[in-house]
Amino acid sequence: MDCIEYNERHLSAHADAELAPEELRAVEEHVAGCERCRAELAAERALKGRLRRLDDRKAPAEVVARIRAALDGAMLETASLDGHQARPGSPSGLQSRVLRSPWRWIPTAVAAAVVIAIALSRSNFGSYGSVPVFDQATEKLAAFEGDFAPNVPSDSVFALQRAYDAARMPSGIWNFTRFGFKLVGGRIDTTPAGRRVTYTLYRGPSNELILCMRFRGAIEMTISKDALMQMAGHSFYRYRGMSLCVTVGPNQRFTCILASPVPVERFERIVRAAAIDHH
Amino acid sequence: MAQKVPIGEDRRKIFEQEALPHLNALYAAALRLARNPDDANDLLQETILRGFRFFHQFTPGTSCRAWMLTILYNIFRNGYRRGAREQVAASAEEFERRADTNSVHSAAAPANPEQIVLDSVLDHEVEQALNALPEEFRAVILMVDIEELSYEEAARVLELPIGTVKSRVSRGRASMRRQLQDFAIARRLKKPMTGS
Repeated sequence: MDCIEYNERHLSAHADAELAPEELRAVEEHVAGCERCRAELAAERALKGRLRRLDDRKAPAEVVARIRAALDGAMLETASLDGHQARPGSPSGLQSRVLRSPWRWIPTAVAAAVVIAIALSRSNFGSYGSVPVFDQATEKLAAFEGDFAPNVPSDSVFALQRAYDAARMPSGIWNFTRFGFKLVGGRIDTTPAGRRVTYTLYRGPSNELILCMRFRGAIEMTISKDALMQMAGHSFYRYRGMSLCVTVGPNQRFTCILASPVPVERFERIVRAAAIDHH
Repeated sequence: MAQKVPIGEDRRKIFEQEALPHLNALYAAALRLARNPDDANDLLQETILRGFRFFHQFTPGTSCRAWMLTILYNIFRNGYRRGAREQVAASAEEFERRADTNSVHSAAAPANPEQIVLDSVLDHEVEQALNALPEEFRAVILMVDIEELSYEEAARVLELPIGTVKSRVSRGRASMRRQLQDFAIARRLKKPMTGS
């Protein structure tokens, strides 16, 4: 590799950590011996740093107020909405709705603090009796601990997502790779009852696992009131020595059960971080 | 049969928790795309409302910020630049040509302390250099460098092939570096060290 090839083809992707392993090896070999390209890389990274540190200018208060009012109008509309086939990119005209009731606004700082409605008053850890779908998740996690062989392309979360999409399994999978976890891989299996399930396995820095089990449809949930914590549609349980997080998707299109041996409080923090934003 | 849409307080609460913490970041993105406050205000409002309206399509566990950015960019692309589309396309083409013939990454350039220049430029100069990029390049730099999306995520948000994201990041940054060096030269901070 020479300087021209490095600068024209690899410099930006190198600074962005977007090179494939074999490219990275060749690139690092060149840069290690080339002062000029090391300077180019430093400059590229310096520019990235400057851009990343640019201030986010705050939305003007009057615009926020206008949005609050319009959202209230939208609230009223959705309350009477039967259904639609439109997409987010298509025109909606909702901004013209009239404010009809006060928007109970929660400032973002407060919202962050109240994301979790912790219900630790319940002390019935493990007192749910037997929940078949919980058994399935925890037994699979125990089985995968020693033996997990991906049966779909699992090079990255994106590749895995594509494989699930291609198999028409529920789209959108949890991504814990920004929180110290590595993707072990994914599987698509069929349960004895004939339900198709995706299993996505992550391994943490201390070898702790998180298993994500997903399938179409909703489950019979009669114990949601017994959740230890609830967070924006995610319910947390402690079951047979494992922490669980259950999410039922919009319109009951899918169910996702996360299972992990980590303590439920830490598990909730990991899930919350992944749920709120991983950028 | 009509599809039942989630309604009521739960939807609003979840939207507040998931989407509204990104309000200022979305405004900043709108401002950098539209380059004027009036359009940015409208763009932000439309983005939030459509996000709320279609929130049932958001998948928990995925990035709400990336989802909202996708909506924002769709609205921007389909509406706000419509009048200037021809001009934008022409300017992007011209930009590509200039980038090819005037690369900052010249093999003949000596090793240089450009990083020092980049450390010394002012924030408004960085913003100015970003604003000077054609829209297609500005959007990619915005997603990758400011929003810190991966190339794959940026490609999804912008609906571009990953290869296009990669080449636009490269050329967009090269142009910004040239521009920032020009600013530095103008302020007599240093002499030009790269380019021919």
